[in-house]
Amino acid sequence: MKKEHDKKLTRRTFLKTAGVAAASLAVSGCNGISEEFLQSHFREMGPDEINQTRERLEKQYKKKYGRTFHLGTEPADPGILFGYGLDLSRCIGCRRCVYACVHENNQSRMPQIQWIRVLRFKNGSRNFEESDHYYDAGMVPKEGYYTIPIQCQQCENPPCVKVCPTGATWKEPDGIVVVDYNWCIGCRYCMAACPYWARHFNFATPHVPADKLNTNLHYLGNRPRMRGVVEKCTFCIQRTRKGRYPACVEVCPVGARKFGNLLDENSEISMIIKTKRVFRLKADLNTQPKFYYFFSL
Amino acid sequence: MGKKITHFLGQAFTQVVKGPPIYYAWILFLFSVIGTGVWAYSHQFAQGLAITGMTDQVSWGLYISNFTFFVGVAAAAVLLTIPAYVYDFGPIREIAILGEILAVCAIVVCIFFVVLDLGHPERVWHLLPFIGRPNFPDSILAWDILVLNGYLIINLFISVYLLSVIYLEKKEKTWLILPVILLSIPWAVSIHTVTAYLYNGLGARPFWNSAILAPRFLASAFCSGPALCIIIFQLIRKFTNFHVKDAALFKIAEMICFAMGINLFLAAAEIFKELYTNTWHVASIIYLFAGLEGHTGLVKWIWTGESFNVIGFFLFLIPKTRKNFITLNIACIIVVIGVWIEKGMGFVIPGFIPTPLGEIWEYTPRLYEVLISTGVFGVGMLLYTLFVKIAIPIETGEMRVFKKKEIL
Amino acid sequence: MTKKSVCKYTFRLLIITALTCLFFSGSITAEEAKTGIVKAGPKQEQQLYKNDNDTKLYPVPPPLVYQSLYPCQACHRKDIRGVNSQLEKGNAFLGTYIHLPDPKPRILIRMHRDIRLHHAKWMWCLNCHSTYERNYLKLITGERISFEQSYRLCGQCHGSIYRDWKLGIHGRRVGEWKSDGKKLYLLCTHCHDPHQPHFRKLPGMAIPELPSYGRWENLEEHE
Repeated sequence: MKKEHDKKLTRRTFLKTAGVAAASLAVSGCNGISEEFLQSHFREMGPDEINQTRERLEKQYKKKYGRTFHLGTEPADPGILFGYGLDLSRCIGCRRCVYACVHENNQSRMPQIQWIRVLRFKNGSRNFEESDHYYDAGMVPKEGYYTIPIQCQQCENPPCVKVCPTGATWKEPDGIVVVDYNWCIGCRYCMAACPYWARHFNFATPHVPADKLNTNLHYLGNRPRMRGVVEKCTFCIQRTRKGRYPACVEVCPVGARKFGNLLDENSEISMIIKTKRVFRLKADLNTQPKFYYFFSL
Repeated sequence: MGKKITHFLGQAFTQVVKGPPIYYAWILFLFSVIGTGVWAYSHQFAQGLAITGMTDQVSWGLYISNFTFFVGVAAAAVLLTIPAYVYDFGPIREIAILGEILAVCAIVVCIFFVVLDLGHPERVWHLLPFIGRPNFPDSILAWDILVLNGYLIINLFISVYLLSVIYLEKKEKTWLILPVILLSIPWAVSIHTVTAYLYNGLGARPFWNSAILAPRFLASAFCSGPALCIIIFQLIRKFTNFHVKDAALFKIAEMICFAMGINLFLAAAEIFKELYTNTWHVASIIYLFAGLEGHTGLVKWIWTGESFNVIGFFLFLIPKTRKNFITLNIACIIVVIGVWIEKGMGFVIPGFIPTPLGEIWEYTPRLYEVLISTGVFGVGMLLYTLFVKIAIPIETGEMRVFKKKEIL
Repeated sequence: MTKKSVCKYTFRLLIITALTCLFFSGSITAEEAKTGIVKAGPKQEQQLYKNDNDTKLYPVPPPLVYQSLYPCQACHRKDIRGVNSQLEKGNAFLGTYIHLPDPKPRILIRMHRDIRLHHAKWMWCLNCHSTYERNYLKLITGERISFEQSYRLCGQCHGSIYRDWKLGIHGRRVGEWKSDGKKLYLLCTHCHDPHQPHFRKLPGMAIPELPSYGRWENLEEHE
């Protein structure tokens, strides 16, 4: 098995080197660029290659931002399938989750990218087209309205993964849909396929002030992105793979956000599914989100 | 062999370089259009797709609209291939090769538009088999790349082979070329079907998620492509001594009439289904035809396009107007414009409005995008001009291997 | 009757008898059959809420009161001469108190005037605060508990919320998401003011920006 893998790698590396020789010649002046250009798909990297890539990127970030970063590449643990719960009878629409996410995941401040969108509805309405994305929160909650925050629903049957022409986005064994920013070609087909508007594209070079950067990174998560790639919520993979709650869960002032392992019957999310009325957004599309909205009241 | 090739290249070069003043003017015009496109692209290269009107809300725009339209143009070559080779209709058989060259150029234009739309065009090798990692067979875009390149190769092979046979004054090997020509027929259908499936298969976008999309795409393609052919063939007839029979043009016009009839019927079926059912999913088509919450960016365009299609249909339908070159040309031009609107921006943009979360954000192409797009049209037209400039003398017998003939 | 039809009828009779027996031997009690309400068996409930152990202690961050007035007994001195909490049971020795606790419900005029009570109508301070040892709270049973265990106090009335809190459905937690992971359970009082537990309004945060052009282009030039 291992031998075959090695063989495949060699052939791949060879073909790659030969196939793009002209291009690599053009950029051979700057070694880092050609290395980045010829980089393999994350899932095809051996441990050594992952290490090299990690070191290269850490160096690159240090040079660019003048700070020391830790770039994690932790794989998924077995026996874990992440699930998320959001208590709609508690959410007040204060948008603290939005900005906690922006800070934790190094989202571009200019142009602005936000992975969480909070929609405000008039009581009695549930049509997205009647929702308000740009409500001025003022003091919340506001009588006569309710809010639904929407982010990546981490579908078990993700249409974005199905349509990606290069396999740059995929579902990890623990259920998180991730993007290899170095493999994404930026065709934005996944954005057209996503029913939850959860994917965002770096139309311009993302800009985050160096002092605002979170230095605890994950390769598949919050590492600084480049222009021309798609990004999305990863359930804070840099935190959750190390056992911690996602940032939005911890920040929610009303405790509306819940997180846990769907395969553990004592986890918070399993208890919610067992004891509360839950629903999933756009269930008719059979995307099977692992993001459960529920009512505790 | 090598000698023949150098000889051919020499001849071809002379062909390309020499021509009447109008030819130079045309080439100069194309170069200026392309140059402007390159200048505009330099901005996109430096600043990314942010210089376009595209946003997270409307993430595909003019480029992908044009891509969709030109896949149709490419697929339409089949309307020349079928009468020419399946029914052996003489007048069209003589000009079928010009249609295949058009298909080649249209595919090149398509590929240009897709690559221009990428955030990382230099990573395009990720799509290639063996060195990259195409998500095959899951991704319809991976399929599309396969069928488009296949179609390009098939048509390039057909046109180059047929021309080289004439050039070398040999007899064509039917066993070699006929299967390829026959293959090109279903393949042409496949490129536009797969392109339709590209949109069709997305549950997130109810506006596109309609089973009659692929038939609609094919029907409209069989209007716009052949209409473009009729215009081009008349131009070729006018500026070269290549003869195109009226019968061929009228036959094509007849076929456009059928295709447009079906296209209008399918469009009506789609509109009926959306409006009469009147679910939440109707919003996109309302946006397209009437505007939504004061956003009416596409309304005048789509009404222009659809009325052009209807008028064009009647001009093609009535024998008197079909066989009158003035009305025929008007019909061709308005049908090309009509289909370009209907299947380009009029199809791609409403899919994004409203967004899956109900937001309405209007897309307007920005100047850079328009210039880059016209630049790509320029590339397509230049390619076709040069290709035809070499093909016509071969067809008319002015350019032959080792035979000195007067050059145009 | 033919032999065949006898067989058929016997078979049917057997089936019907079996079904009837099944029905009457079923788990539905007579009362349940009458009211039409089938109660979840205790076993079932136990399974679902097997953490439901009132004496279990949960790791919590320091109660908010620790940052303000605590220790309460700095003023509410229990016992100058060291008389112990036996007093709570009613053997108060009058001379040992600076202020004698007055257990009569009333509106406080001199002290704690910032506290507005908007809890249940009948509630007042000494329903929750220990009468004689103010560093502690007390349960309805008289059991004295620390502020870290205030959830037990709240849970006396808000049973279903308390149950949800223990399961992680209600309230906030920080730390590790694993059900046996290290985490802190935020107390009820971290979010609710116990004196007026209804949530007060919060200032919301900035509106997302609409997509805009032009501004980015200038930014690129600066970099």
